[in-house]
Amino acid sequence: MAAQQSPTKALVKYLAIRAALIIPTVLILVTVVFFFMRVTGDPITAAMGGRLPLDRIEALKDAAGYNDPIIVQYGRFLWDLIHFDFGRTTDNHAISEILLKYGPATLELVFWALIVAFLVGIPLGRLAARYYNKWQDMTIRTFAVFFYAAPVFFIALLLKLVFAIKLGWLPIAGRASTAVQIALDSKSKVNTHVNILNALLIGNPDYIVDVLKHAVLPAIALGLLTAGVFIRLVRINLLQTLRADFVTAARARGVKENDVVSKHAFRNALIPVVTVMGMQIAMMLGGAILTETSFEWQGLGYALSQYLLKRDFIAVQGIVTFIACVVAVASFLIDLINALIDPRVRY
Amino acid sequence: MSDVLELSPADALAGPRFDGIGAELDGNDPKRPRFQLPGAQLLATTHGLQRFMLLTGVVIVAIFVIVGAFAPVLAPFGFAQITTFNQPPSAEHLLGTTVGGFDVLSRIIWGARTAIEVILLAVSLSIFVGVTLGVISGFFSGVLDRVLVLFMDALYALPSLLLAIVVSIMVSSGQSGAFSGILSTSISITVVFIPQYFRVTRNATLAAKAEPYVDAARVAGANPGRIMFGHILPNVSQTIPVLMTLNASEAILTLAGLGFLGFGIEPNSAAEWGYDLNKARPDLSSGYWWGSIFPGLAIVLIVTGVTLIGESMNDVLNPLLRTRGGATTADEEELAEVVSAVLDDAPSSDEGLVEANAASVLQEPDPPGLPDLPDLSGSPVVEPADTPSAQEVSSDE
Repeated sequence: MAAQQSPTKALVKYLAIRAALIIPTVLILVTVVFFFMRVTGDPITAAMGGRLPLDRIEALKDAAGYNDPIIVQYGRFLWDLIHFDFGRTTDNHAISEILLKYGPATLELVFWALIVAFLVGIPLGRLAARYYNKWQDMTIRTFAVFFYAAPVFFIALLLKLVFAIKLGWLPIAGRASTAVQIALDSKSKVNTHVNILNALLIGNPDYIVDVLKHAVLPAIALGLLTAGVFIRLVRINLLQTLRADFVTAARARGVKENDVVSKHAFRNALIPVVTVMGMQIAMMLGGAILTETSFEWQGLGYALSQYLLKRDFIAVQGIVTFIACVVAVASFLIDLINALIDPRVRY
Repeated sequence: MSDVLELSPADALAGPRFDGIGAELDGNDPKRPRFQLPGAQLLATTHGLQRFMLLTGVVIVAIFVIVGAFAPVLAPFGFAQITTFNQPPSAEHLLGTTVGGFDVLSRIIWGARTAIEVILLAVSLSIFVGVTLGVISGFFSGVLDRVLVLFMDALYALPSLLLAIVVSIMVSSGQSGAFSGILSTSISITVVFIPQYFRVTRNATLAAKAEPYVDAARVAGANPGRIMFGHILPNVSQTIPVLMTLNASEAILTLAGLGFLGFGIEPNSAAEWGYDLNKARPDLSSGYWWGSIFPGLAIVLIVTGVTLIGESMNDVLNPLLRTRGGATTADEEELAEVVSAVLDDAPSSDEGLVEANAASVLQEPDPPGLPDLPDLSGSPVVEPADTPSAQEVSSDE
């Protein structure tokens, strides 16, 4: 912490620069998505081509502004984006409403999955380091490789087959039973679209149990994907940290060995986990698309896959643009947390 | 990774070195034969479990390559040949038939061919584009470099599946036939990986540019093209094989993910595991499991194979994990003991341990052969030594 300037000042400066960097990042991301989606043509022909007469399509294109020069379209796209307007789907829903409706569900899924990832990944990583090169280590590492190698939708399928179909313990799909879902959306004073929050607001224990039961399998499927990464990170970093100078220094000062591990080494070994969280968020959102499709969990990924099947590329562009923005903001938040817990980050 | 990337001038003057793996381990061995089977050096530097992992990976991948190559001979039925509908595994249809009447085993065998084709295309295309852009960007620096880096960072930030979807829409509007399907899917996956090769090559080029051999080439009158691709490229290509195997496994997962979302290759033009798995999903609850489990297992198996190769290569190249001589070194055994002991929650053994550790620390503060741990002392980005794709990309921060 012995920096030239005061640590707080350095932190604030770092965070200010980092926050300012979001704008160009988001701008480039949305620009890339916009131009990629426009290279081969307009979304209306893609969705309606062959189903409507040509003059009708032309009229629709004119009305939606797809016959304007690309730069004008791009300018309008950016202008709308600033006003949280992501355009309208071909069946004329505002995409921003879709985002508000489905986004919270994805957030909820990612939240549950992160809990699973932490609960599974960190203890197992610690265990693998503890039994370094022993059979426990090998077993855990094999487990990690398997969850890396298995596509998340295959894990989802296995979970469904065993726990929902064969054993019948858990529901096979969806975010809540139909009746409960209706109750959750109507009875709650504020509809947060986050089922568990709605259930807690209503305060009906049956609803809470129903929501939790539906969340178990999707959370495990998506969580194990990330847990595999956590296991590898925690294991390797704990092994390395125990060799670091500051650990030796702590030992030399006579710090108790258990404290050396839990207070000095283990905490520092967790920093890389936070660091890679930024990349994990992108990976989890990618995994969420497949998990949601597998479990018909009505979130952004599910909506995206539905619009992909309908070839509604305006909706696809809107959702992808939104996810890109979320990724940029999330990686800023991760950097912020990282800077708060690790003084070395404030350069 | 620093000692792998840094080349001494002597190394550089020794000429192009494509055999980066293991070259720095036994480069001084005069008995080393000049020509070897590709990968033989890699194998020679591994031991025990690591060698077992590598060999297992090679065998798995080799089986898939052979199955893919001889698919027309091996597959009992064509990939789009309709036989009987929805039959469980039997003598005639070893893995059963799908609801649509396809033979599952045949679809898996043909799917191996699709997967191998897509991997080869995607990986070679992304290496070609990524490395070329990386060398150019690193060599010329300036505005071009800035713009390319920003662009590549943006591509890398997007979830890879989303990017593949967007590119797939761009290339083929999401619909694809036989070869065009494989090509467009490969291009979608290619775009996901270009930024990784770009970053790695660009950073290595930036470092290599300052080496005396580049000045020497310039003085000798070589033009920029020749310097870039004749002199720098051979010297910055060492990390590519590792990245390549890691990407190959991700390529299969992306291919399967696209297929799962119904965005890959049409079922009548080629067999694709992800697509088959998705098609079999709705009937899972009516006891129809063979149509989804077997393609899924095929994906798991091939990805495991490729990952095992990649991990082994990475272990060999990563100085922090490198083993020398026997299965484990003295340091590592000592480390293992220390780690397992200190993590033991039993407080009774504490004092003895502290003494033992203090003694070992006094004798050998820095185990020989293992460099200091640079990534934990100063660098703001603490790099996970075990996840190279993350590490390569963040290595220049």
